[in-house]
Amino acid sequence: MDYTDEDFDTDQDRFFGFYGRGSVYFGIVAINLVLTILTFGLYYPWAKARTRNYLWNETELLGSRFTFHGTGREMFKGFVIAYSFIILFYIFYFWLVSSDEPSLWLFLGFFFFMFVMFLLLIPFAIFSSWRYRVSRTSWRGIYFSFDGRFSEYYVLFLKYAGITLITFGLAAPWMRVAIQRYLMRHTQLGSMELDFHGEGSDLFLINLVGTILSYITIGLYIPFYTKNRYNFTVNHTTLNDGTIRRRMNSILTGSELFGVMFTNFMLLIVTLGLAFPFTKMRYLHILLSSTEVSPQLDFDGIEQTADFYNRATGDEMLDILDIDIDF
Amino acid sequence: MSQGSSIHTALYFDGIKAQAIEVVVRLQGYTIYLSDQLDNGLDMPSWDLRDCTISSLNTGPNLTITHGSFPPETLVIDKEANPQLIAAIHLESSLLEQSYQKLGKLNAFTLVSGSILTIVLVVFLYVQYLSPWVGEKAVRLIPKSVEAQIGNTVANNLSAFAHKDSIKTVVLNQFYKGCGFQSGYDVRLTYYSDGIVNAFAAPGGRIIVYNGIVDLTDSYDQLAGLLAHELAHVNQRHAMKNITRALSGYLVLSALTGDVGGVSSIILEQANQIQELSYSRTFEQEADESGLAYMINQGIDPTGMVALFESLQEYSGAIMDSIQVLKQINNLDFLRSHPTTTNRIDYLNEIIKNSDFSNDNNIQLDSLWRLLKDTKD
Repeated sequence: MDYTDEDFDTDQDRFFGFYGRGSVYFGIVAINLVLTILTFGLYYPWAKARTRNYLWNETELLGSRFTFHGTGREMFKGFVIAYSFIILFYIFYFWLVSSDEPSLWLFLGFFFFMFVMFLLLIPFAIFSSWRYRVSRTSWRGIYFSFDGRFSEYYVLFLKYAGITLITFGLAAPWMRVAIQRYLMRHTQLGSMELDFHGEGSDLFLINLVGTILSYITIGLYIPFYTKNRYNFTVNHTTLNDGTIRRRMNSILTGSELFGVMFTNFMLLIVTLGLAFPFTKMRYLHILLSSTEVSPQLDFDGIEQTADFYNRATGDEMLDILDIDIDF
Repeated sequence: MSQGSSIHTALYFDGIKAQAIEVVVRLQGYTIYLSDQLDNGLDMPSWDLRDCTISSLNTGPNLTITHGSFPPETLVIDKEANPQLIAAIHLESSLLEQSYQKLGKLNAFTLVSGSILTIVLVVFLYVQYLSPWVGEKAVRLIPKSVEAQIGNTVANNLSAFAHKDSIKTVVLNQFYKGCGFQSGYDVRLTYYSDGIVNAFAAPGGRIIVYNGIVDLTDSYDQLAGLLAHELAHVNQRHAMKNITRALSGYLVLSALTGDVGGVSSIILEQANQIQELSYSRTFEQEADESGLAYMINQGIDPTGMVALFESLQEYSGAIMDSIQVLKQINNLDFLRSHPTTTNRIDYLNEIIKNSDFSNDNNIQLDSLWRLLKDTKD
């Protein structure tokens, strides 16, 4: 680990801020739901754009808000592809179910289809979603950009997927860390580079302890487990302004998160789920407001060249498959 | 519009560095003028609002205006501190929007509505063509025990308000056994004496016969033809297929949502309406062909079936003239669900002409048939 780990001065105003309000978000979620149902799901890309516009715009760092530049139209193409896959799946399924003696070819075709779906579509969706979201985000007029290449990424994915399969899933934390590192390493905000230095073994331990304790405590440990995972991601993400490299810092504590998650849970039960927009805002607020960047990094000095800008907004964005993933 | 003496300030980002620059903003007509507040002599641009993108979000504390592709210049105006400027910009941009910016919005709208129309078309095609096919195939998912259950429900419901003739029911079942037709189901016939000219097959092997149609027959092979026809409906699960066809849309939906319980209850509810379901021409043709085959196999004269249909045709001609028309229609006339067109009779004759069959007189069947027909009800 060649990045400096110095004390963060928590008095300084280097924390993220989240100002989203449940009342406003409720309206957005409600309208999205109605329109999506009315259009048989076709409105979904526009719904995503609207949601992200709001969430990005309510997130603040160093006095400036983030902006989401994606549009429903852009996301629609990838959406149609995903939609078609689902329909194809059901067609296959019904065909199989309704034939008296399904031919061997049909079975083979079905398995091949599932194979392609899992081994090609899903990694591509992860890659494409990240690339799209990154390149459609800007801060103070500076765009994030991503220079990863799918071929590289896919080789990595296959390697770790194979290992995970052989170890019956035990190697999953290493796979997740490897992918996260690849994606972050190729992401930058203008001239500021990101990176991720987490280790699979750390994540494995967190998962192991977290799962066992969550079972023993009948779920009470879950907020602590979540906090561990969140802190793991944040504390091992680094920013490099061209001169120095510093990691991000999370001061989120298990008890804080427990308070929020528990009251959220109660609210959801009492309102039969209707309070979801409100609880989501509270959740995002506690996470983001506990996250800070180092005061030593020079954010004002971030630069954007024509290259970065073009990479972010270039027409290579033709193959967008944006599935909601949770990093 | 005059800005008065109030100075509007905002944050300007030049899209090359992340450093914020405080500027003074002035709106004149549809042009935004920016000047460097610190008077550093920096060359500040003026923007034509028509070249700018104004953030469409109503939330958040700022109004953001972006200009240019590279570098993407951004102007961030605090809403609370500059209400008049914000209002003026909104007014100006809405005036401009009416002219040409609306075109951009249209595309998203046409895209979605075009897709909706496509979906409606696909749904229509599905309902008309694919759904019936799905429904028929879906019948394989229904086990025979369920079919039998449905059939029993129908038969039992009928007993509630129809007059079952127990003795003739026994005779009828003996007659059927005497015919020797084969079936994978447990076939049980019931004889009702309500005067209705009808017979139908419920799923699972229950066959209902009314005395009206039996009285119309002139020989035992005509009755055998009727039973063969109905048996074909049973063996080929026509009644069940009708149900699943009608429910195919619902079946697909419940398969997608995983709701299985709802389907079976709907089916049982609909069970009573089987009597009213009229078979498609394909089903009728299948039943005719199979019925003929059954008869030929068992050495019963297949022309009996043709004769029955001819009698029915005469009968339909007769009732058209009689005042009993309304009464018969209410009694679910056999003809309503089994239209006997001349084509159909010709088709049957064609098959018979090309078949070898024996014409032996079956005394047992003959006497059983006479019992059914001759006894006064």
